[in-house]
Amino acid sequence: MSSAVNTLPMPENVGESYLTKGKGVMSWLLTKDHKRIALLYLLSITFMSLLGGFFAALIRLELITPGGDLLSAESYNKTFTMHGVIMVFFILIPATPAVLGNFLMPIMIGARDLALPRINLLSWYIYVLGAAFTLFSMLSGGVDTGWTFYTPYSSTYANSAVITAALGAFISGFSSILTGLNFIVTVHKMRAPGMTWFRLPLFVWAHYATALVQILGTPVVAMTILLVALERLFGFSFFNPNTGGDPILFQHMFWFYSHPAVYIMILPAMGVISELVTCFSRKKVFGYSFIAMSSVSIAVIGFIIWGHHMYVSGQSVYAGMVFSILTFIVAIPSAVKVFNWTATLYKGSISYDAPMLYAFGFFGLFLIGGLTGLFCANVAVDLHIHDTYFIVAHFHYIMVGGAIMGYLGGLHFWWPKITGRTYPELAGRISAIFVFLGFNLTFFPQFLLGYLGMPRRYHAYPEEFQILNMMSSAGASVLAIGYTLPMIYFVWSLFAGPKASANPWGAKGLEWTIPSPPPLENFTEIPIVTEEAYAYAPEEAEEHEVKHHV
Amino acid sequence: MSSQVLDHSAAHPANPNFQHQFEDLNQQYASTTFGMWVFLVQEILFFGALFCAYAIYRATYPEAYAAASHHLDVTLGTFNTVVLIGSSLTMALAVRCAQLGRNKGVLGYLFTTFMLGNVFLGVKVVEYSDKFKHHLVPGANFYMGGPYNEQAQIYFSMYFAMTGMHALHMIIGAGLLIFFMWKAYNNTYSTEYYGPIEIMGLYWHFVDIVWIFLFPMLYLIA
Amino acid sequence: MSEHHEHHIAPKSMYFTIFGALMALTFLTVAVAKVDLGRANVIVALAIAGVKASLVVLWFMHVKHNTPLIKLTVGVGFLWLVFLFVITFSDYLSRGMMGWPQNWGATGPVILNTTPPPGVEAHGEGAASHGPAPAAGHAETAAPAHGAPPAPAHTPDTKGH
Repeated sequence: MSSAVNTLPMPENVGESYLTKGKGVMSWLLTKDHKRIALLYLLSITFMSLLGGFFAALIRLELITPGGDLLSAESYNKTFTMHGVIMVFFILIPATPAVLGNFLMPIMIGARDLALPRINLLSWYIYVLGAAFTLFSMLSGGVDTGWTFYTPYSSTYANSAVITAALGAFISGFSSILTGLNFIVTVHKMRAPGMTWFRLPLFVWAHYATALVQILGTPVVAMTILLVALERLFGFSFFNPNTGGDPILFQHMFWFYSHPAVYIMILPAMGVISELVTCFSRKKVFGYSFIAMSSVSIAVIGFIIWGHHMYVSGQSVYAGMVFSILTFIVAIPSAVKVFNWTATLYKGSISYDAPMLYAFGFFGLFLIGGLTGLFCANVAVDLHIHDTYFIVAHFHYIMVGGAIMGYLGGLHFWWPKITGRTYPELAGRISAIFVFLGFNLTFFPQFLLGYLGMPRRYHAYPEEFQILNMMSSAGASVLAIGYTLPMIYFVWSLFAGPKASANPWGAKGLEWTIPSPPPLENFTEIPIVTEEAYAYAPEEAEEHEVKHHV
Repeated sequence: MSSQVLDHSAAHPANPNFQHQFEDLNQQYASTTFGMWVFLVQEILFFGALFCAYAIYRATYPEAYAAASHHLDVTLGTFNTVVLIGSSLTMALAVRCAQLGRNKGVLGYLFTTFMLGNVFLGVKVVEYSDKFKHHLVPGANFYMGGPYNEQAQIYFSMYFAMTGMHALHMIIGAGLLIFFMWKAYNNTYSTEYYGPIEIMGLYWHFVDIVWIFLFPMLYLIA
Repeated sequence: MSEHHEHHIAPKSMYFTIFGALMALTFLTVAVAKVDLGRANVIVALAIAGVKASLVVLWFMHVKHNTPLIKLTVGVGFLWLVFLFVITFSDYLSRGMMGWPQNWGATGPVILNTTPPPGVEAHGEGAASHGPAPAAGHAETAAPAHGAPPAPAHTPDTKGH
């Protein structure tokens, strides 16, 4: 792949790079440029992930031995709560959309910026404010409710800084809403001439579907969290059994968003994978419209299956049954994607660059995560594995194995475009392998632990579980190396990395037609799009063309 | 992916309110109003969560809701409904003036809307202080009496959360109105640029709609 | 994208007509609420509110003469509200079905706080002498209230940190 295929004509008077145009701190803090805002997000998300990773490390350290020796039960509760809150609300949900989506979406559709640049900047400030609240709650004693803030524990009994943590999640939700709003408006209104809906890159489709979930789900959880805060602050009654309130109603309203939130995490990663698979197998993607529509249908079906988190909560048996069936349905569009990616690889000329290694890692981990999801969706099985390490392993396979692999793969793939510098390829491949192996070593034993009956959220456990827990902790250190490496060589590449060409991967897509790094308004002249996405092999592309055109 | 380029930069309008990322004012208008609609969808779900919780408990404790709702003043509620719908009318007329480029008219109608909004909020203050006086604010000092004393706390929690969130939206809206009055005073709007007033109108009408549902749900179910 | 967006500017009379209709419906809903229609009261009240809201959405917010995209957007918002309501209610309405003792309402909430706090007049509502008989499904729910011992004076449900 090192042979740069760059046949496209480069506009002559390219503007100054977005990185150098405008100097000083204020030019960054007040920027309305989507690319700079993406970098602001990148920095803040990386900072939060160090914090979340620190808590993860504490958890794994505690669990090396069966006794609760490192952390008391209470501080262990606070540790996993902070790990969950930070990782879910401040990393997994914003990571891919706010960094890669923000940077690439306008370029991919041929626009100068997102439709609402000021709103975009506002969303970053709201994110920072939410993070500040969460950090404040951490410093003022921590929270021990678990990231789900279940009532009545969170509203009545918990003796920790629930309100600030809940408000942190509440505030960060609005950051997510505004990002989604911007994406929806941008895709509808800012496409370049000729960029029809079915010429959009699949990355854009995935982000559009994500934005739908952000808009339609987040407000519900925001209101729910607000009600908990009201209940705790002023003694209002919404979910309080003492006055006839129903804690399960909290769970319904919480999971109405928080289940689809899983798709906020995974859909953008799937969009990245679609880009990677076509580029690195040099083939037009197989079943373009199916992949595009499966994104949208995952977003929609994701909203009607939340009750599978509540099989043992006391919801009705009938509801559990219905939710179980509906949950199985969401496996279909997910599988459609995997099959189409596989078919894209078939007879492709595949190259194994670092981004593609991440994509392969995604396949393996998402497959395991997705298939174990079917176990969990089954009411009878779930009664046994609910709240055990089986669940922990399952959602880490999806949310970390899926979402973070996609995020890192995308970051490697577009790093030359974002910074104009090339990262060291060999180091990239090594880190991808470390992440994949470390991840499996960390979380596969947890499937076994959960199956054997080890419950989650305890700082001590019976001695017979120690071997598997030690494997898991050992894997976590390998995983940590895998995550640290990119941080080191990405920073290194900023100063010493070779300059990147406009299209180092020989990829298709509008973002590769402009210089690396892009100029301030992306395009000196708005392009007119005349061909399908991913037209890698022209003669083949001709055949498949047009059937699904709008 | 692209093989041709088209120069749009020459067509950029001279209006000072034009934003650089758009091609022309029409695209700007369409994008920003659509953005407001998407925001309102978010608002529907935001209030929707409250409505859902309200409905679940209404279905479970209908008698408690009925007993508690007796403590609300239907006359004040009706008065406020009339006031708020009236403010929606003046808001709609302000938008119409903006479409015609009449800044003076915009200013006048926005001011009327603003005043009606304040009347609404003033009545709300009267109602709230009445609840405080009669120990009807949920929490340690709540006391309604009767067999439904406990479940009535849920009703009044809902009452305060729903009307409070609605009032918060009104206050934000009133603040925005001041901003737009200032803009209209400076002759910002014209037949080709009136989107912000229309967006303000959408927001205000949405807040009105929320009240249209809150009024029967809270006051009239006895 | 570049053709001029012809906006529909409605005559003033339209706005006043809609306003008149909204006023009429407001007084209608207040009037109907005073007539006892049983369960139908709620349905009528919500139906009138729905009509009023539609008038505002269609004419004041100009959706009637707007693009299909805007109409779709509004529709999606309400559709998702339906998801939230229907699915949540499907749980509550089916509790206790299939012979599974799950009805949270049937076990009844813990009733506390039946004595007035010091200095509060009881609004003339005696604890046991009052109120319509609870409907069948809620008999157990409300029952403990009558015989409940004077509870530990209004145990506050929330504590400080």
